Amino acid sequence: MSRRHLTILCSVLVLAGLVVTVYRWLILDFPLLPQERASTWRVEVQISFEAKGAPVKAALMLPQNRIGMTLLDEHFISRGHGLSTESDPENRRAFFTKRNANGSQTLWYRFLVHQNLSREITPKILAPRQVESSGLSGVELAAAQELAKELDSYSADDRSLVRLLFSRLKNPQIGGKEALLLGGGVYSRSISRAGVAVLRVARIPSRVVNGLALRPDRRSARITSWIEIFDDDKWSPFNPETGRFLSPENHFPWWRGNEPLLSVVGATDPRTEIAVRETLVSSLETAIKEGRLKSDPLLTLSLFGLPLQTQEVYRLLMTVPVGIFLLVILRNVIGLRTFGTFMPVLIALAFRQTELLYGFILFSTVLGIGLMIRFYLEYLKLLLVPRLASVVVVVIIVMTFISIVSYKIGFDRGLSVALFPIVILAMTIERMTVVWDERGAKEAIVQATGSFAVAVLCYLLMTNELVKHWTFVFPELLLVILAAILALGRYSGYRLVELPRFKVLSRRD
Amino acid sequence: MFGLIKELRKSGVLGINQRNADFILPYNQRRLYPLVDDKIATKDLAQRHGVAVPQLFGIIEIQREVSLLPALLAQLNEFVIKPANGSQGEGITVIAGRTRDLFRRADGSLVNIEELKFQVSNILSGIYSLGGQPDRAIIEYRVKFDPVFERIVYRGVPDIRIIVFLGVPVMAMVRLPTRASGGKANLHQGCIGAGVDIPTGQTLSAVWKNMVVSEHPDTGNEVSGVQIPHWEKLLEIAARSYEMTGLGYQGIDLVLDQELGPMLLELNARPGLNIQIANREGLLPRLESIKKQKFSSVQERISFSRKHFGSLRP
Repeated sequence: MSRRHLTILCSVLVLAGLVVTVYRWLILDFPLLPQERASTWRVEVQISFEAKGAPVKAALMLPQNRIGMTLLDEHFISRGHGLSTESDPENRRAFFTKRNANGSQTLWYRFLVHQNLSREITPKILAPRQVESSGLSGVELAAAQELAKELDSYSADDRSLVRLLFSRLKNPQIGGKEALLLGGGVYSRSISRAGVAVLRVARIPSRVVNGLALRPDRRSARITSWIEIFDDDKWSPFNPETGRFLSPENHFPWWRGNEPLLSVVGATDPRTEIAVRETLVSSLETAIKEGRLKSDPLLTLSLFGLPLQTQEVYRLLMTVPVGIFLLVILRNVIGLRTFGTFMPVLIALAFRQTELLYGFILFSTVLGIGLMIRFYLEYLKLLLVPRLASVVVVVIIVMTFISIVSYKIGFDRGLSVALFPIVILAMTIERMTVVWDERGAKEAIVQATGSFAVAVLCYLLMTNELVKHWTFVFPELLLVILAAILALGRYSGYRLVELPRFKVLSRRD
Repeated sequence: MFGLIKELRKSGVLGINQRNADFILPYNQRRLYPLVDDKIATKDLAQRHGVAVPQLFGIIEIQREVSLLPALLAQLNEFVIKPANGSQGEGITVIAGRTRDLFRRADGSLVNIEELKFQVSNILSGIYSLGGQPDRAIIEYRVKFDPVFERIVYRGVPDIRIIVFLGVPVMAMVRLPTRASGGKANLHQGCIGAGVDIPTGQTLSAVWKNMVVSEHPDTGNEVSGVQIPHWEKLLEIAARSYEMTGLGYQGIDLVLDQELGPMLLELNARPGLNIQIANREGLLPRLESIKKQKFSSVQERISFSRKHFGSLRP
């Protein structure tokens, strides 16, 4: 049956449209609302060291793209230093090298990071083949072994062991094993390092994570450390600060392991200065940049792949189906009568450029003058096509005249009259005179008002920010609109205007 | 509002969307439309099937022939000029007589030959045709309607519209011109529609501009209870029109000439829904009951119609 066929077709269209939309929204991060801003952070690292005339090699840890966190822009200012980067599964490094450097050297590294906190931060990394060595020796190794044994007897599983270990590391007793392992430091970095060493002795795969807090405007931000243990086939973060198995809030992981952020060979006094600043990049821009990095096929298929000029045209064009959909409802469900099927949508398009009030004034002026001239032509008894052609010419003359006069008197809006579709206007004038002749002025004015009301409704819908945003950012929604229009093609209910007409037929008994 | 929708559904009122979706689209094949849209083709078809039509005096097809109009009209006192592809009764001029060198329209106004020429030119350019296609102008016999309608018609020719579904006459009405309709028999233009009881051929109550009326607004005479002559013949023409055109759902417009009897005026593949108001009854129940039947002869279809489609109102 054709009805079933149509149902299936519509369902497929709706499904396809929605799936692609949801994909764009959730995976490609295209914002659902216009002007939604994503938190994007600009991080600037200033590196400085004192060179002593010997060859210098400075290694800087670099952040990596991970799920839920994307680097959008990366810049190095290496100032005469050779620059190379290398990466392994855990980390990425940049090397600045120079054969002959003297005096104070300052280099910069800057990047833009976009973090999506709604996503799981921990990357899925293959299980470690074996527990890495703790790197401890001598008395420290003995202390770590003793501590591990002790903790093991107090705890039920790895997780409780981790919690216990860090609560003890945070409150070391002077002269105790913990203080020995910490080596005097009580910063998060030394706590994490000591903890990981003990955990490795206890045969629990673990590592240090060094990250940065993303908070507004921090001139000199500090690197914070937390740890990750391998548990349940994945790396789980543990924050020694809070004692919970969660990454610290608003932190993004920069690099992993015990290495410092900057290590320098051949120079002294290495320093890093980190500045963090929140920048408001529209989330659309962010999504597009991220998508480029992922080189997603749906992005290359999106309207953003077009030249800017063409994009503007499509911004306009993509709203037309929405207007047409409204027109279908107004005509087939409500039952409004208009001049020409799609005339109101085209007028609404013109209103987009002229704005409603001026659009209305200009439109009625052109229509009014056109009608007067058309009635005069009626008196000349011309044939249809030449008559229509003369109306077109007259419409153009009237429009030119309005433009020139309004410009002269300093009313710039009048210039936008040129945006009205001339032929549509001429056809409207022609249709209106025929209706005027055949059915009287009243019917002609009723239909003109109807057309105009529909045009205004279409205009309001087509200029709605949400509609503009959705149709352009999620063009696949056109499939959903198409499905709705197809479905309305089989709508067999009453039109609203039929109700009063058939009211005498309603059976009240 | 929803209460009203429910009541209309209960009364089986057919809406325009449902007419299009459930009857016109499935039962009327597109390729058959020219047979009924073009009145010249309809005339041809009717004559081949032995159905009387108003005599064709002439056809004007191209602009050049418009100058021949005076010669064509020279011998005629009464005639009708209409577009071959007109819709909703637009573009029809009825000339009822002459006064010196002027023509007198059915509504009494006078026109000269130049105005008639312009009218024909307009028809040719497609102003009145569906979709604005170039058209042809027909000049045909003006029907002298049966005196039975004399008292309930104001200047014009009353016609009888019968809706035929799969060859079964479903509903009928007479359209009576009024002063407001300018002598035209079209409900849109303000003529009266009176329902006709299918078994008896007697007029029922009438509607005028969506109001139920019992008297003609211009003559003041009772509209209902008028027996339409030749009713059986009219029903037969209607029933046979299905074989003629092949259209499952159509409206057939007939006139009664006082000398020549029933004549086919035109056929309509998208007949209007006002007939429901004229009959004060919905079309749907009747249409549905026909869908369930199988008929083997024209007579069977007519008797089914006369048996089941009597008016529910006295």
